[in-house]
Amino acid sequence: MKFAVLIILVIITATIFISGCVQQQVPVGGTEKMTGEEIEQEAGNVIEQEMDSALGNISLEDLENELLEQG
Amino acid sequence: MNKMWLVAITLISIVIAGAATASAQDLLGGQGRVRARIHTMGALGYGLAVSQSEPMNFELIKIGVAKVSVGLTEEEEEEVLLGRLYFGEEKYKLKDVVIGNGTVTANIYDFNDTQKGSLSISSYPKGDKEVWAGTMSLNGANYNLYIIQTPRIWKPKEKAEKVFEYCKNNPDKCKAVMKAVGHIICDPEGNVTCGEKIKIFCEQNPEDNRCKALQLGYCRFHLENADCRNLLMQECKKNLSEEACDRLGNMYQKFAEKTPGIGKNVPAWLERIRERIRNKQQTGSEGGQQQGG
Repeated sequence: MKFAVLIILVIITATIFISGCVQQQVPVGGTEKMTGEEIEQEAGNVIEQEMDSALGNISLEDLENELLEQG
Repeated sequence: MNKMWLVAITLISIVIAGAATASAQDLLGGQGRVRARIHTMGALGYGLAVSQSEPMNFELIKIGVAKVSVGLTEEEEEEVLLGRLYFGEEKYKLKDVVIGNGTVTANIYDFNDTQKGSLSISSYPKGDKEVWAGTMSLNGANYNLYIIQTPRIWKPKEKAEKVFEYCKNNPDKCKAVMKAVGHIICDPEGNVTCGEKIKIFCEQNPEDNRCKALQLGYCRFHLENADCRNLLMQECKKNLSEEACDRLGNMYQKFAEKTPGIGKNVPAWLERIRERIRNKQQTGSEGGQQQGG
């Protein structure tokens, strides 16, 4: 019984270890250097995030208010 | 007793699993986390694209153009210039980007990497903000663009990086401002460790007057950065004696000379700078004439 529990725990440990490796490899495509496409993708994501946080959902009403503020 | 034994083994296993995962990440050099950050903001804002042939045919647009640093480690970082354009609900990539002092040009691509058009915009201050104006061709139609630049608030890390870059390129000026950072006293001239110390200090104390002065120092030399222009504009409203105000005024003046209509109704601070530039030019030409005579 004790031996069975020990084996299960070893399997769990090994699974967590392997999943750690797999998780780490995904963003870089399993290579040490990023490809041009991956760099472009990451850079695009950063810009989109910045646009989402700074601009959000803009309506014509918001734009009108901004333009009126500018006088 | 058996239960105690099981609990002990379970706890040990959890600890081993945690350590094993961490060591696996270390073995892979911590590559999982990609570092990506905006280095220079070219343009960020929203506005209208108005058809040149049918003025009532217009669309809401949003634009983001930047130089972004991407890499797995600080040493491996690469800089890429690119952007995004939202034309109504449609989203496009901006490539072949050129960011100048108050100007941005780019080609427009769809997400299959097929070119769909191009755009060219220039910025000019209106009220408290900058407004981008220019032209765009998209899917065979020509538009005039009007975009309100949205100022970003730099994150503490970004502020610290600007300070670091300024100190690296201008150690003498940095030295004058940063004689003592808190209880750290170091010599920024050619001393990377000192630069790092200042970076850490400014990241932790972004509102420290010395750090703010260095951020402004960085911006004096980076008029291509829309965030810097905004920072300088705010500064020029308070203190026109800043040398950088003349540089900023000159930059806008060049655009106004090309498109005279845009130079009407300028903010008070810019009008005063324009006057100062005109006076300097007159004094210069009179001096030249006297010397020549």
